[in-house]
Amino acid sequence: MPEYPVWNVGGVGHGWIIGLIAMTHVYISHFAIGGGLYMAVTEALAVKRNDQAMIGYLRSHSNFLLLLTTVLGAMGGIGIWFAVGLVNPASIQALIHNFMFFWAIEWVVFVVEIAIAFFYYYSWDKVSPQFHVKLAWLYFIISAFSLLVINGILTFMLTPGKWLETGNVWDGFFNPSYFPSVIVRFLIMCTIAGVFSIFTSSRVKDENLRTRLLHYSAKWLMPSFFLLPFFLYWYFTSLPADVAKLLETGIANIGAGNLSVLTRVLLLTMLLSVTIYVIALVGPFFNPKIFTFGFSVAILILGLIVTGATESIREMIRKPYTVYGYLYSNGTLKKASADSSNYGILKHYPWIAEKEITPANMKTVGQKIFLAQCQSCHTPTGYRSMKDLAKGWDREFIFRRLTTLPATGIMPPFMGDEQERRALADYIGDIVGAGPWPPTDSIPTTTPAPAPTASIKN
Amino acid sequence: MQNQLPIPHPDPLGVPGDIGLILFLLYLTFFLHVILMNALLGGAFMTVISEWISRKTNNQQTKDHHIHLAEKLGHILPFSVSLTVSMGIAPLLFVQVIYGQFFYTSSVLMAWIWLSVVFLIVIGYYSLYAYTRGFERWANRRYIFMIISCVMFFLIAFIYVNNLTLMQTPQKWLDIYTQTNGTGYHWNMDEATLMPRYLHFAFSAIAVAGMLVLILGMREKKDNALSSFMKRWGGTWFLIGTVANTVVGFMFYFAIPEALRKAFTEGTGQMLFLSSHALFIIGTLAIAAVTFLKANNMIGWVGITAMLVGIAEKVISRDLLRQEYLKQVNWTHAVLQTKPQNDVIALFFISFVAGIGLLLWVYIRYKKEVAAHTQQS
Repeated sequence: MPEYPVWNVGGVGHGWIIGLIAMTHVYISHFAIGGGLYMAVTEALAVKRNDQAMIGYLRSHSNFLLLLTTVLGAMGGIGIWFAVGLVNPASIQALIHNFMFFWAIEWVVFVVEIAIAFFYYYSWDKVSPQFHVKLAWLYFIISAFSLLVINGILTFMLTPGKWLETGNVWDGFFNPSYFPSVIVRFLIMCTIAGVFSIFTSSRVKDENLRTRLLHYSAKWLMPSFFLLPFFLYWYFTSLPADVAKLLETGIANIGAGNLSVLTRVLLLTMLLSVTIYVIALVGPFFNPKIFTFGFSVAILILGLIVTGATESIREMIRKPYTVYGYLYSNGTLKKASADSSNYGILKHYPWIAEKEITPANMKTVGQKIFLAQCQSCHTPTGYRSMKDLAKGWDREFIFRRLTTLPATGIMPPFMGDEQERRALADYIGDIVGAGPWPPTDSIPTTTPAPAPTASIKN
Repeated sequence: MQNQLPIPHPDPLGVPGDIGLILFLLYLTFFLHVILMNALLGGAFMTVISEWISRKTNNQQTKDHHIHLAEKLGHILPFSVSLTVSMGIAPLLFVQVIYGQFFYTSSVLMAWIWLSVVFLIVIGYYSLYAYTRGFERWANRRYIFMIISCVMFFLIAFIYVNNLTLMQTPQKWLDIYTQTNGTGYHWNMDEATLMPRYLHFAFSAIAVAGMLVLILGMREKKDNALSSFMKRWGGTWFLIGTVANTVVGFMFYFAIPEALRKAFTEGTGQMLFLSSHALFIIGTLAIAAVTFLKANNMIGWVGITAMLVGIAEKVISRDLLRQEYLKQVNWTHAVLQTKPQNDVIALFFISFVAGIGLLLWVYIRYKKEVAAHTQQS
């Protein structure tokens, strides 16, 4: 049973609050690392060839990198931390308690990374070119370290692996999807570095330099174009069997026209990714002279959408958990849900002042139960709304449906007793405009509704 | 009593290290954070004042000195933001490990306000960059950027004080949650200690920024007039901040419920309380001597050191007070279960030392490179 108060965000939905911050942060933080590699490789080349025009561009690109990553990128990371702490305190609490000293290591790496970024940017023309290139490499290596640390915690959430049995933090850190995820993210970083450098290159006034830069930057998208499918396949094979089934079901149903949200987002991600590669190939790679700033903005925005979509896929396939097999997305421990003595929301959840349900308070309590049990994923009328999901259902059906939520494969069990189930069904019934209850004695209390197949409908 | 209050249980995974060790890390990193944060907050304030004076004065030398100081602070402040934020991450992490059940709950009660901190920092940070990068280009209007930054940072500090006072009074939580229906717009304005506590921080910031300007003055070797201006100006603002803080400190002390004042009057708390104030008196006298009697810089360094040690003691006192608050709801550190992860802790300390070592190496190499490059050109 969750123990924290729930932040009532109305129709916005908790998912969007984290999602909007996360997609911005992930995009920029990947650029911070990929961009570091881009700077190191490109500056080393430019110094070797004594290409002053290229060095001039890199100086201004590093300014862009610094201003974007050390402010918006860094604050975005803290923003995710704040946001998760607000929408799902139990999750962040578990992650921090399990990985506290890994977080502390990540903090050390972050501080060093930021400091070296400053050394790098503010030492243009003040140190030898060779030392400056060394600083670029150092920045990249340290920032890559930050990925190696945070990746262990991020992948743990989806594939905690042996940790579930052993409780050993190393089992959780080096979990089944750790290595494929590192490589996938590394390839994506190179792509994002290319996308951002295409963006800044397209603003260069000198046509000859701009053409060279665009052609060169487009090459940074190629490794992921060729390699990403293989490593993504490896990544997907490391996921839990239920997740694989969820993905397969969605893909298999494409032919039947039954597109789950997961499948739709997956398709969108693939289509947009291919679009980015095609634009990069046709534009900056083969025809850099005709490539305009407008196109570079388009690629940049598409990249942001793809980042957001892939992050939302990661979130969707983790359902109904925030830590797979351990903690449900509404803050209930899986272990606790198996013990019937933990059921009874008014008895166990301290944030509902009413301690018994009466006809007079039924609707109020129903709304509070919705907040406590459902709002981590649903809203009444906004994002993933009950208004759409329970459309056409009557109160009795909703009442029965609440007993079979885990059968969907994507929802945690409802932790309330029969009366609380009735109050919640009444509240949801009001949202969807259902008719009145049938006579009380005709409501079955134990008959389960038919279990739907596992899919994420909305 | 705890059972009747909606205080969540500590995380079942336990605390992955010795509580004493984590408290030590909390105090150490919070001390670094609070010094940097004070320098940033007070520095932004002093830059606004210098901008204002440089526009009002008819004395050319005063004008030049204030513009010089504003430019200098403008260059330092973006680094200060980065360092303040970086050094703020660690104590926030350690607070969440030990006091998470309180901290998350109070954060949810003021969720929108708490989340806004992230956006306010971004605005304040970019505004600082706009000020610094546009110092010449936007000479007539650059002060607007500094005012924006200053307002953002003082507002963030106020939000922090709201949350950190709310987290230690679980008695109020359920009523707040019921009244606000969990919408997350609650300010903790009815808290008696809120304003004195906030002002205590705000005036400390002005005093610390005064010390920063004093240091800049003591380190200025080329221009004597500028050096003595910065020493006098910095010392004066240090004294203004300190005197104001003495008044506010009394207000804060008496706003704390009497039963909880034993955080300052018994045992370790009393020792810290007395010795920190003794150090503040020594520090204030030494800095006053440098400011008004033109005493040797060494006296100034002694004063600054005494102030910093005093502030470090105050950091511990602050946590002792929090512990007294939580004892009211039958909570002590003893309720926390520890499950030390010694190998990861060792790895953390290795990375900590390696990180400092690497930065030192880069700094030394950078200095050498700059010297060699300057000689060449």
